Amino acid sequence: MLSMQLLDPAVKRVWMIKGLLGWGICLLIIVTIDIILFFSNNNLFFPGFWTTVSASLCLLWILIIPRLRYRFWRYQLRDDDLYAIRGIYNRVQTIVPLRRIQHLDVEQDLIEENFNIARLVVHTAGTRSTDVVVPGLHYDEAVRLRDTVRDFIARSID
Amino acid sequence: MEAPSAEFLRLHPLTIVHRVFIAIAAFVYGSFGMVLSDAPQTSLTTALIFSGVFFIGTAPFAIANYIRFRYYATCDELVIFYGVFKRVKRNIPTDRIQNVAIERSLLSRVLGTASVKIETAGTSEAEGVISYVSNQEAKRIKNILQTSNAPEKRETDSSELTGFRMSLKRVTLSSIYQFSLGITAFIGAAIPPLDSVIDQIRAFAVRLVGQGPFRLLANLSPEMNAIIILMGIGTALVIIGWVAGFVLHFIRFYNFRMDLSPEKIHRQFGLFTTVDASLSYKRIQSFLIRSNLLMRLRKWYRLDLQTMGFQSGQQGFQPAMPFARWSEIIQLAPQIRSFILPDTYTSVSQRTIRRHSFRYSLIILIPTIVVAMVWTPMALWALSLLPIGWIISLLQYQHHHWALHEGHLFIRRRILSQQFWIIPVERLQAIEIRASFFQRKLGLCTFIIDTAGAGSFSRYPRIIDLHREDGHQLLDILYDQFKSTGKPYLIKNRLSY
Repeated sequence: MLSMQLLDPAVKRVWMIKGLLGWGICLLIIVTIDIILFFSNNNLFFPGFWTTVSASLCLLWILIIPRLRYRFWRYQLRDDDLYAIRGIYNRVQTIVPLRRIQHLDVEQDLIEENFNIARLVVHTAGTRSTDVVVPGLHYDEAVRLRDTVRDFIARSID
Repeated sequence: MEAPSAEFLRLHPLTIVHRVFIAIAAFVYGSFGMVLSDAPQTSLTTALIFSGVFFIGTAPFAIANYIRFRYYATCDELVIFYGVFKRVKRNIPTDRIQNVAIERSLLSRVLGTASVKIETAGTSEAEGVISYVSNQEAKRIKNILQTSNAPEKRETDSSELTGFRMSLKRVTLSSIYQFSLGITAFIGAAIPPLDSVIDQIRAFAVRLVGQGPFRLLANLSPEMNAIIILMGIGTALVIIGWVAGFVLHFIRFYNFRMDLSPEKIHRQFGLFTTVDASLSYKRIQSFLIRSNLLMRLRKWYRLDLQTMGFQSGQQGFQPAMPFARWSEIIQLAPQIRSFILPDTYTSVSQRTIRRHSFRYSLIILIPTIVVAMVWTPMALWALSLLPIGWIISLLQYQHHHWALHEGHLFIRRRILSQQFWIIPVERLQAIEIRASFFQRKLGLCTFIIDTAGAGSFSRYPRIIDLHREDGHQLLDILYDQFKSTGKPYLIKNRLSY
């Protein structure tokens, strides 16, 4: 049996950039509030306190979370199912039997495209795990997985 | 896009009457809200003008919609052609259809029309709605779509099949146990700021019966007044919620009947809006037997069927026996899908009590600490709530059992609104084992089995706080059973790459 696969290491940088973009909006708002506080002489601590705190949190988040997510993400396409383990706080193991898959997508956004990374989205008819997403796959690996699953389903129908 | 051919049929001409009626109802409702509000006269007039313009503006749209809407039903597919600005031709292959329901509102019954709802798997709403056609036409569409859907004939001897009916007495009795939280919350939210209410009620009471018992109200301290009035409002809301629950349940399940035929499950129910739906046995994913605390005290339960298609407002669950005795359910449900109840059930790990007690203690302690900063005596009183957290955790543990028996997973959980799941192993869509940080420290996990149906926030089968080893053992056994059952359960037409 094949061992569990890791994601493509480039996904860490993708998650860092996405984290930076997400946090960037919050940071902009906090910087604006700090500037307003500075000019209204209403500083609770020193000027720029909230910006410093948020920027430090943001930095910590961006440096730590993607690495941890990457470290705990494992997947394996087995004979009959797709098996995935993931999660930092909540460790989740999911088994999706291949014969339950309704359709498959290989998705890529602009940042992922730049790193030649893709997501395999597996749709079932389930209530909770309707979309099981395996992120951070090398594009060729994502296509290979999709084709393997597709062939399995085609064989099952025949 | 190709134009509709001569085969296409139109909706019933009275559809426009329906649309106009709905528009008028919306208009009256909107105006009613305006009249009730304290809006100045000028803004009320403006609102009325805008509502009028909106009403006149939407009328041509309703007519255009009627003109554009065409459909035809064959043994292979249902084709609907609709849309004014965005024109859509929708083909729904009959083998994808999960359920066909005929709905008739009070107005429909007066006008002799009906609405046909076609449900397919994997969508959160009806994929095709034909409203409105004549009642005969609705039945014709239903027959075409369902006879061509070739349901599997069941091996069960048809003479064994029975059904379920709710007499007027039972519908009334079942309605007594209902409470509409939604309507209570809606009315509660509509109550204006409390100060003004208290002042108005006081003034009203003093003016109305200045010399009567209400005089006491005027003499009490403002704090006591507020407490009494708050209790009064609370009681009124509870009564409103109960009455609303009674009325809604009674209207919905009036004359409920379910008949089991060898091919289908037929259900009919409703007082004003009647639903006539039939469901193929193979569409049923799992059983859910529910009861609230009051129902359980009087030994009443409710059986729902989880299906792949959706039924409006039911979150993927369709009522099969809205109010029945346990023995009735256990007699009828195996006729829908065979199962044998296990003799014994397994409890989850006792460590769940520790984990949940800790969680509830935090929920109590964090606000208490905040309160302690401003009002220490009150905070000390709040500490007396801590044992309640432990009691709830203990009760949750005592009410949470599971069993894997004869190809079915049985899960019982929750204290107040209890759920009892019966899940055929061959119906599972995915299996998930979750373990939070604290669960990992205690060697526990949550076992989740995913079945097909519409999305639901709280209703899904799971075993919370199993021993980690038990969880993995269950996964292995269950998955082995799954692999050895059935053929691939795929809907060809939905496959896309």
